Formats: sequence, C-alpha cells, structure tokens
Amino acid sequence: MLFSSEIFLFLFLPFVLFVYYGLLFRWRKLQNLFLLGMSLLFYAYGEPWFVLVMMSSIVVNWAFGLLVERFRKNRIATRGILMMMLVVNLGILGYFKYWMFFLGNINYFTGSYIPIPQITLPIGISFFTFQAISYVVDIYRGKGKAQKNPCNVGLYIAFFPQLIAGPIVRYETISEQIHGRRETLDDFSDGVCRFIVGLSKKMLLANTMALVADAAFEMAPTDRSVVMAWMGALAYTFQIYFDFSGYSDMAIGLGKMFGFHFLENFHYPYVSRSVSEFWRRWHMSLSSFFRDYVYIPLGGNRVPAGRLILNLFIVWALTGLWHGANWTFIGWGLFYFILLVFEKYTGFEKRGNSPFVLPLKHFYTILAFVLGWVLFRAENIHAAGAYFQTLFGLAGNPFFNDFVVFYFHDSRYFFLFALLFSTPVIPWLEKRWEGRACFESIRLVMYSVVFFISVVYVVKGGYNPFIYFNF
Amino acid sequence: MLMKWRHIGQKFIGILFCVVIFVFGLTFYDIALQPYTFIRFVYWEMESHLGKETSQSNLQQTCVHMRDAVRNVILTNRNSPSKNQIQQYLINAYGAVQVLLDIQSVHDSYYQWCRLRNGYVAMLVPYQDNTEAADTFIQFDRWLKARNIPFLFVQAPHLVCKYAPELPRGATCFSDDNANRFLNRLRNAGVDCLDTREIFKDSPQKHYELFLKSETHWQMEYAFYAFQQTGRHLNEKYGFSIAPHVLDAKNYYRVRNDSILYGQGTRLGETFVPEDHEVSFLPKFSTQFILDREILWPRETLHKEGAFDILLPPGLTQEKVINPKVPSKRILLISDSFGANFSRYMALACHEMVFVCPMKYHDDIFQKLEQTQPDMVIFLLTAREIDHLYTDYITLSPEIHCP
Repeated sequence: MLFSSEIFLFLFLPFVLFVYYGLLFRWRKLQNLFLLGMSLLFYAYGEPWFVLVMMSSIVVNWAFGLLVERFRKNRIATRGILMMMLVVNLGILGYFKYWMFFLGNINYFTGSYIPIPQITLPIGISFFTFQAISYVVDIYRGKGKAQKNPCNVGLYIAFFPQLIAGPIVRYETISEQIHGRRETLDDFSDGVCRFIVGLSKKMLLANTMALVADAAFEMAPTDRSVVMAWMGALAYTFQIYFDFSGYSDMAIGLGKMFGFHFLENFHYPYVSRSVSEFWRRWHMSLSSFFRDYVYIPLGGNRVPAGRLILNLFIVWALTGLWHGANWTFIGWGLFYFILLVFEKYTGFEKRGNSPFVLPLKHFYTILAFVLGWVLFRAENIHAAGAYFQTLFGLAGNPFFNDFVVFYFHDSRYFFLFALLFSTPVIPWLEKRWEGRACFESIRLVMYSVVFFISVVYVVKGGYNPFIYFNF
Repeated sequence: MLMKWRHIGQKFIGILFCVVIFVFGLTFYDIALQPYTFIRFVYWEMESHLGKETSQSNLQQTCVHMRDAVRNVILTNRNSPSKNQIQQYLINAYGAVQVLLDIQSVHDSYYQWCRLRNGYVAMLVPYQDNTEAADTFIQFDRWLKARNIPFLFVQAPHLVCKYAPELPRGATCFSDDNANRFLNRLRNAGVDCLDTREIFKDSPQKHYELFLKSETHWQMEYAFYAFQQTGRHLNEKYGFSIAPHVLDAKNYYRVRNDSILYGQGTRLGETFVPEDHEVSFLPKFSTQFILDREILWPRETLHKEGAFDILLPPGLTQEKVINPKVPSKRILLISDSFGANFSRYMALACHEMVFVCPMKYHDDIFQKLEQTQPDMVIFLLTAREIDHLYTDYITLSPEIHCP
C-alpha cells in the first residue's frame, strides 16, 4: 500500500484516524495496540506472507532487548547477546536480500553452477531490520529501556509511516514517545501540512520526472541522444530526491498526526558545495545510523590515516550495499568513498570559499551526485557504462533528436518547479514573512491548491512508480 | 502574535484534509460500509482463486489468496467515475491541469496517452517482443487443426493509423510494428490471418473518422467493415453461406449519439479529450436473437430475446447468441474489447455465436472446444501489446498435447 494511493488516503487513513481519535482516545495502550495492528495490516496488504517474517523479527528482537537489560552488568554476556542479535538480524537481511546476489557472483567468478533459489525480497526489510538493530543497541548503550510489552517493540519497528521507506527512526528518539507522547491539534495540523508537502512532491514532481527518467534509461542506446541522456540523468536526480524526501515528509507528517516526532531526513541536499556536505543533508537517518553504529565503533576518525581510510571504505561499501544487491550500488557507494577521501585529505570544504570558486564547488558537487545517480539507477555496470558514454558523446550517438522535444515539451514546467523547490526557497520566504497575515493567507491557499491537485493526480491514477523495491 | 495566523491557517488545512479524505472515502468505497456484502465478495474471490495451482506452500498460498481477494473486492467494487460524480470532477480537473500546462501526453496506470496532431487521443503502444505470444497462437492453431476446427486470426487496427500516424514530434507508437511482426510469424507458420488495417489504407481520413476520438475503440461501422472482410473470407475459404445482404453496408443505417464520454475519456478527463460522438451502425433488415450473457457481479446469466438492439451495449464476459434466421454454423469468437462491436455482426452470420473475452472470463477454453465443436474459431485482437491474459487463455497445459 502506498501513501500516494487512493486506498491509503481514502480508506486506510480515515479509518485509522477515526478509530484512534474517535473511539480509543482515552486508552493509550489500546491506541498503541491498534496502531500496531493497522501497521501489520498495512504491510500485509502488500506482503501477506512476509508480515510473518516481520512479526518474528519483532518477537526475537524484543527478547534480545530484554536479555540485554537483564544481563547488563555482565559485559561478556551482553556482548554475546549483541553478537547473536546482529547475526540473526543481518542473517535475515542477508538471506532475503543478498543470498541470490552472493550465489550469482560465486557462479560468475568461479564458473560453477550452484542453483540459485528465487527469493522474493520483503519490502522494507532494510528499514525494519536496521530499526530492530537500533532497538537492541540503544538498550545496550543505555539510551532507552527495554520494552516489557512486545507490542510496543512491534509498534516501534512496524509503525506504518516509516515502515517501507524510512526515515530510520532510532529507538532512543522514540522510546519515550511510545507511552509519553501528547497529541495536540497544532501537531496534527502541522503533520497534515507536512503530509501534503510530501504528497505533492511525490505525485507532482517525482512521478513526472520519473516519466522522463524511465524513458531515457529504458530507451535503446542507439535512440538515446546526448541531450536526452543528460535530461534523463537530471530527471532521475530530481525524481529520487522528491520521491524519497516526499516519502519522508509524508512519514514525518503521519507520525505527527499520531503525536510522534521523527527526526528530519533531508535538508536541501542539492544546494551542497561539497560531497561531504551533500551527505550531511541527504538521507540523514541512514548516514547517522552508519556513523553511530558502524563508523564510530570502528574507531571513527580517531585512528591513523590508513585505518581511517579503511573505516570509510567499509562504511561506504556497506552504504552502497544497503541500497541494493547489485554491483551498481556498491560502485555508487565506493564512488562517494573516493570523493569523500579526496575532500578530507585536500581540505576541500574549508578551501576556496571566494565568490569565484564557490560556484565551481557547487558545480563539482552537482556533477558528482548526478553521475552518481546514473550509476545508482542503471540496471547493471554495463548499462551504466553505456549511459556514461552517451552522456559524454563517446558512443557515437547524435547530440539531439526528436525524443528530447517530445519529453521536454511535457515536462518543462515540472523541471522548473523541481529546480526551484530543490533549493530552500520556502525557508527563505518563511524567514522574512512568516506569521504575517498576507503571507499566511497565500500559504493557506497554496496548501489547498497543492493538496487539491495532488488528490486529483491520485484519483486519476497515473504513473506512480515505487522505487523502494530494493530496500 | 505573528504565529497566530500560521496556526489558524494550519488548523484550517488540517480540518480540510480530514473532511476531504473522509468524504471521498465514504463515496469511493461504499462497499467498505457494507461488511456482509464485503465478506461475501471476498469469499467468492477466494473461491475462484483456490482452484489455481501454484508452487507455493498451502499457508503461503492462502495468505496470498486472501490478500488478493480483499484487494480485488476493494478495487473492483470501488465506485467508478461513471457512478461517482466527485471522481469525475477530479479527473476533469486533472485534464484541465494538463491542458493548462500544455501537456500532450498523459499516463494512466498502464499506458501513455497522447494527443495526435488531428486532435484524437491515442494510446502509445510500447515495443513488444511477441515471438512467444505468436508461438502460443501457432500451437493453438495446430491443436484446432488436429480436431478439424478451422482457426482464423483477425488483426484489428489501432487508432494510430498505419498509413497516417499523426503523431506529434518525437512520439513513438509500436502498434503496427508489433502487429506486423506478429502476423508475419503466424503466416510463416501457416496460420490463416486477416489484416483489417488494410481496409482504409487508401483513405486514412476515413480510418480516423470511424474511431472514437477520446477512446481507443473503433466505431461500430469500422467493426462492420472488418466483419464484411471476414464474412467474405469465410464464404470463400470455409464454405460459409453468409447472405449477401448481411455483408452489404447499404443495408445498414447510422444513428449518431453526440457528446459521449467513454471509458478512456472518463479516465483522462473531458477537459483533455476532444468532444466525441458515437455512431451506431444498425441493420435495416429484420433480425431475431436469443442472448445469454454471463454477468460477474453478481454472478448470474442474463437472458434476452429480441432484435439486434438486445446485443447493445456489448458485454465483455462470455455470451452465447442464437440466430434462428441462420440455419447452421457455430462460431467461437475470442477477442479483446474490440470484439464487442465485431461480435454483434458476427452473430448475423451464423446460427450460434459464442463470444468470450479473456479479459474477464477465464473458463477452460479447451474443454469448451471439445464439447461444442464449433465450425470456426476466430481470434480477434487489436494492434497493441498482446496481454498475457489472451495467451494464457489458449496456452496448452502439459496434459493437453498438441500433435
């Protein structure tokens, strides 16, 4: 079930809101139980069989949490439990997500013929597995108490707003909110506005950019001109940002509607002036997860240079691998590893801040993430290579053809809006005029119009790709 | 103090949001308010799924069937734009947004639709490697030949005319390319084929006039000309004796119906599609039919007796039409939605015509053929992608061998 679908917007969400606020308002435990039940139903609607996998993960991690708290004073025992927890969680993730990839590569590199089972990837497994790990590790670090009731753990892991596409919610940020949250009208309204922003990003910008991106990437290489390739790369750059940040906005907004406060996940990454800054603004919940649970335990940057580079290599290889079981994702992660090491050891961020150099830094960063997204989007390394060749006119393709006219004609305004809204223009306006009656009236009208148009697009049922099937 | 306006505005949005989602939910999904009916429909859906074998375990299978049953009931019983005015206004608003932004192509869940240079709205058909699909048809033809049942494949045209595509710059439509490859493969394997795209090759203007402007379907008159071509072929090659007056266009008259908005038009918005009209092409001579049509929701058989008008509007499930005025010949017509208009005329040509649309009807065709032994099997498909529904329907299972 997608947030941007009719069945979620007009059937699931009204029902959940009605029962949560209309029938169960005075009973927090029942509210939590109800949210858990609806979250499992939400997941089962798309994955009826794998909801059992998720429920098993909930029970197992609940048990690990209790064991860690029980044996807290025995360091060896708690470490052992932690290891076991990692083995179980990463084992489940590894089996469903990476086993086929692993066997395929063994066959490829060794020439063997090991039969590869067809394993379906449960949607959202990367997210809920990391949340489960976060739960036990945060208890181990004393950043939250173990929940006695497995339903509360279930609610934390399976809560439908962040189940399928994040943000990765850390247990320490949510542990008090499970029982101690307060639903207010202001929070609810704020959540609604945030949800509308996310919905419009997804329905209006991401889906339209997806049409252009998919056309460019799926086109026969001989039909793809240089301009079409760049248009497709830019379209995908916008698609993935507005889709992912739109989903995060909807998740944060939905959380607020029920009194939960999640941390931000995106902060206008495309205005970055370095790759390092880009990763401080892009998918912040993932990068902070890897920082706190992988990079810092490995020693962080308080190690010799050689070890630091190794730590960065491990983190970025894992970051790439987390996104999907394909060499393109690993390549993408390592591409950023190379750029980050370069920036770290040249002092790139601190240098060259004059008005003449800043645009160049900005251009370098844009080029880096656009080319990175081409690698991320491609079906495989060969397709990525072919696409890169077209981008730089090395494949003998024409510079321009009629496909560019066709696709640009229909998406030109959307490209403009995408460019505009990937910059912090709204925060800039808010800083100057927030609270004034005129500005708030315009904002009210814009929210209403945008909501109306988004609903129109939802009801129309157009192109609505789901890009999280690898996660 | 300044933030007061912000809070007021946000609260207004919050209330508006709740009102919209609740009102739309109640009007779009009224099945959800009728729990007994909902459960009954889910039970029916599960019944129809449980018979299908899969390689999954029983528990897994049951979980998937339950999910599919609930999904199908919600989705198929969701009120359509024709029943829900709010939806239609919203879809029209969508069309208006596209027109405002000068967008010439729109997407629905499956296809891309484009405004042609002549103002018609056409589906842009993607490239399809239909080799396997063609092989399925070839196997089916051989199975029928082994039982002395003649088979004829009729290629219906797509709106985008083979001889005058009228596509905007940069748009591509592989309807004819897909159909050409498909027909070549069938003909090379000895399957009898008729290509109705050639009927108006010298007058593409007429081709477009006989198609709906806002829809993907041909008008009744175009279906008649396809029937005319098919009828002559049946007379010449298969010993049919279809009366000359039935195949003569002069014996039909037109009834025009303006401002019609059909399926695709309602889905794209009347602000996006051109104004359309339908022209019924009805026989002047007297006709008599007995119709039995399967209805899916609720499950029943509709029985009617009367003249040609009882066959209108067409159904897309399964129906049997008896024509007492024709003494012999039994035809089984399998088709996509284009067959609906075509079948009306085919019923004039034989004593018994059974029309099956695999889009919605999934009975065992091989059992039906063994039992009914028709004099002719005709399969009509339009020049598009060949959906697996059609090839699955005629795919020989391992138990049914082909010599």
